[in-house]
Amino acid sequence: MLRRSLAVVATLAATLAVAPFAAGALVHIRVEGKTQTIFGSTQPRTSAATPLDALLAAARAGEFYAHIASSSFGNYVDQIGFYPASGSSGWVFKVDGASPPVGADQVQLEDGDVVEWYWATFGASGGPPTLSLTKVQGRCYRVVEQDDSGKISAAAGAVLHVDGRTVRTQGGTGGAMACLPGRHGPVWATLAGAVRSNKLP
Amino acid sequence: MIRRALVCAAAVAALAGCGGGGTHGRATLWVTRDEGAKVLLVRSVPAGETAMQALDRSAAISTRYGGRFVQSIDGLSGSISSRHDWFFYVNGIEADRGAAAYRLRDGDVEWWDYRDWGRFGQSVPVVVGAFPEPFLHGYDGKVRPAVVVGEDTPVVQKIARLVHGRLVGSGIDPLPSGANVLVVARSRAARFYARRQGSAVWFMFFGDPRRLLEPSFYRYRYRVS
Repeated sequence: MLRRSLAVVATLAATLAVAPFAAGALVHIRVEGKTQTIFGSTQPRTSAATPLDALLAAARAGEFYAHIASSSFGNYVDQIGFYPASGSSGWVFKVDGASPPVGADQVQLEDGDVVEWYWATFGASGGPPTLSLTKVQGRCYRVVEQDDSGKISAAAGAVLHVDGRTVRTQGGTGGAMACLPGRHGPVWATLAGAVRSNKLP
Repeated sequence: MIRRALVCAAAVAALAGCGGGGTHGRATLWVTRDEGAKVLLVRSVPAGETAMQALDRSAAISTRYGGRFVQSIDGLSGSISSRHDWFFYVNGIEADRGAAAYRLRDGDVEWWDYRDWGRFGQSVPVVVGAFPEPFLHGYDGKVRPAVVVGEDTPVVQKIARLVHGRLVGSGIDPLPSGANVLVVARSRAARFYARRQGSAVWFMFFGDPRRLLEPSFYRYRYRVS
């Protein structure tokens, strides 16, 4: 009987994870490309010790290209999918919305961390803000943006994408938000100059 | 709530009416904060009203976005700077619609919790704090069959009766699809948490099964671990 219970638990774990038995922490991973999401719009789980591990686990699960270059200051990712890093644009990552000051193989992940890799063009104020979408009270969606330090602000002007149409968010003290009237499909958010958000099913 | 559920279980085990709920009878309103760490309000409310009406008659609220969103309850307001909002559950299941669009059924637990957003993109779709809900009253009147996976002992049998569930003692494979599942496994350290599995829920308990018969072990909490 106990064996059955454990089998049930194992089944549950397997349905929720990309690679349940690799070493490391159980984290969420999403890879955002230049023009579209490359992997994990809903931030599936994977086991990974570092953000680099998480990227490679995603690359294996999603069969997309990722290349690691070596340099005098350590390893770095110089290509994901079709686009190689070039000039002031390239591939960077965040953990829980903030850019760590060290390399992708130097950050020790903890259970529940959200790892996001994305295409970024760097300007005077750093990289682009990243968007995050949170669902509140059924059909209301709140969009926030985070800068490189992880500081949160309202993503004013963000639009939701749902069922092939776009829905404007409203501003105010609550930040950018919209409540959808009826049943609907998956939702994600975009804003010019920012990295698109996670998708909520 | 517990007493009500037990009365329900004892009185009408043979009837669908208890689980199905109705627009007559009573529902229960809970208002808590910080994942149930602090209980702010517990009140009996009439079934048949919307969750928004029941909340409005019990507390001072403000709404936004055309009345579809509860911004504040008794002065406690969601905000981007504090990363907090009011989250809305029915029978431990995160509501799939606004409170104005949910009509309370007999036996429902309407639960508002003011908490940190948590990690972005990671919702908390089901919580254990209203157990034995959602096994008894489901969601929006839809009650799923319940299966309890555990040892065939008197305590686990009692738990199966509590959730109106079928104890899978000798084992069936695979588990019936669409059923809500409660896994009861012995372990030294007690843990109790819930997950969405398709459109059903799975509740996972590890520990001394007798703990599941003590509401204080899980009441108002998102998970026990």
